[in-house]
Amino acid sequence: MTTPGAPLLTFVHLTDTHLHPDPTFKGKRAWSPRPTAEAVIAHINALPHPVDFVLHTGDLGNDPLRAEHYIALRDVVFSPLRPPLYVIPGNHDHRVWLSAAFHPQHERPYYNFEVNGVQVVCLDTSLPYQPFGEIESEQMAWLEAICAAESHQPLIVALHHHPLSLHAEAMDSIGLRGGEALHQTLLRARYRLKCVLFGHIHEGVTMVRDGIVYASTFSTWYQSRTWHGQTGDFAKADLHHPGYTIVTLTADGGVMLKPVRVLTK
Amino acid sequence: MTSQDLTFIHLTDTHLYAVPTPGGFKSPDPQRTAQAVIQHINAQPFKFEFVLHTGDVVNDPTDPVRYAEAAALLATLRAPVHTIPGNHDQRDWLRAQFYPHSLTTYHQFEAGGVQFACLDTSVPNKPYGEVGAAQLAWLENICTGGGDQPLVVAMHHHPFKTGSEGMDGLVTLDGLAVHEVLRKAGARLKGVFFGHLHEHVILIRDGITYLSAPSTWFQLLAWPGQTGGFVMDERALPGYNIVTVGADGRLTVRAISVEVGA
Repeated sequence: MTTPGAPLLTFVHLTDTHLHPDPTFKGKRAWSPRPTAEAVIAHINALPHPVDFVLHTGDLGNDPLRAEHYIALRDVVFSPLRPPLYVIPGNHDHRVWLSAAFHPQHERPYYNFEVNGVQVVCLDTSLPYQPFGEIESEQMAWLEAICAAESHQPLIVALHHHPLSLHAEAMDSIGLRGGEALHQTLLRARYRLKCVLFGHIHEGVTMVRDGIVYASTFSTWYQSRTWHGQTGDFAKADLHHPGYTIVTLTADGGVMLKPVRVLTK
Repeated sequence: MTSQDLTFIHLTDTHLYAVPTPGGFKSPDPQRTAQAVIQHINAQPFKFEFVLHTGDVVNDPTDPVRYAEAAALLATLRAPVHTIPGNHDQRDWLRAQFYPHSLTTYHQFEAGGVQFACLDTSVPNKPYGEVGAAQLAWLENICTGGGDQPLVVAMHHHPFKTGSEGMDGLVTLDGLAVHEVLRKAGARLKGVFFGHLHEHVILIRDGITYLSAPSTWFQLLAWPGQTGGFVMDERALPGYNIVTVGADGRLTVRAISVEVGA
């Protein structure tokens, strides 16, 4: 009676690579995002099990200045990645250039796709030149239609910004505005919604509300740190090892999330 | 409902007093890694009410004095510790040391308005887990009562197989029966915390979230479809979870990794 369902789908949740076309770019940090992103990609390629796809929840680029920068990142950094890559924009991305480089077949930065009978909904919470996020009304109507549809397909939802409060002042000021409306919409699909994946916070946090699991994963560049009741500015983590999460859906409806840290030194 | 948020720490599988095997599978010194994790927890800049240890406190003890020693080591945490037995524990000795007021090796307590049901999945001298009929009835009584008081459950063994051959043999044999009982708690149940796997995973099933923490000692590498014996994950770090049960009904869990200095 304890036989697990066979894996239906296994994918990798990756986020916040913050890549720059200049491989020596360090931003405000002491190290470049390029080598750690490459180490994570190599780590994913070396996994001992099949990976159906990789889902990148945004801030793929770190404020690129030209559309060609995304082409360069695609062709140089991400081309070694073996599984297919799906991306959504973060607050440091240019959503039109990102979409054009990585999924030109979709006319909008938000879209959905299907793998092994699982529906994956990729939201665009980015707003030009704003660190916080929002789902604009046209996209919300699109999502509402998906969540209200009569379907038994397992559903995964991905977005960049954290949709629930972390009770941490600085991080909450750049979270998703309208997270309550999003949650109420997602509740309509609760019976088939497997989990909601996000990035942005550079920290591995799992939140559960009304049976819906919202899970972030680590940045591949540097980690941040929040705690319940935190006031004032952002806090740095004491360990910056990059990471990602392996997501497995089983045929019997179960989900397993496995956060992985990649030790690069 | 609770009137305020409750934060606690989840750690597991300290395996104290295990004899390290240099160069091999179990090379770290378990007291040293446990102390590094304890120091990291104590340095957190926020208040936590208690520490929940989900078993394998001591590694295969032959004398009850080991639990007095383990309690002294865990008392260096700046909050009280609640424990349950793991497969490497001697459950009666553990109970006598940590919760002597309980007549059974499973027990419950309340903190910050939240009810904690602490299961004993250990089976003497067996690596797998089992809850059994009497404990299941006790759990059912908890899950069908309690009004709207938030409920958190702790258990050592994983509740169902994760698809890795080695660990699947060490599962809670009646874990799906436990799961069916837990479903009766509905929205009261905020989460289930477990250990045993020596890796950090989150299992979601029928709206119930089960979360493990890394061991404070060494980690295992497992994946669905893995066959053969156990593989040590030499590059994975010890760690723990920071858990907040919110007055708003939400659960928030932060995964923390700890680097043990050379």
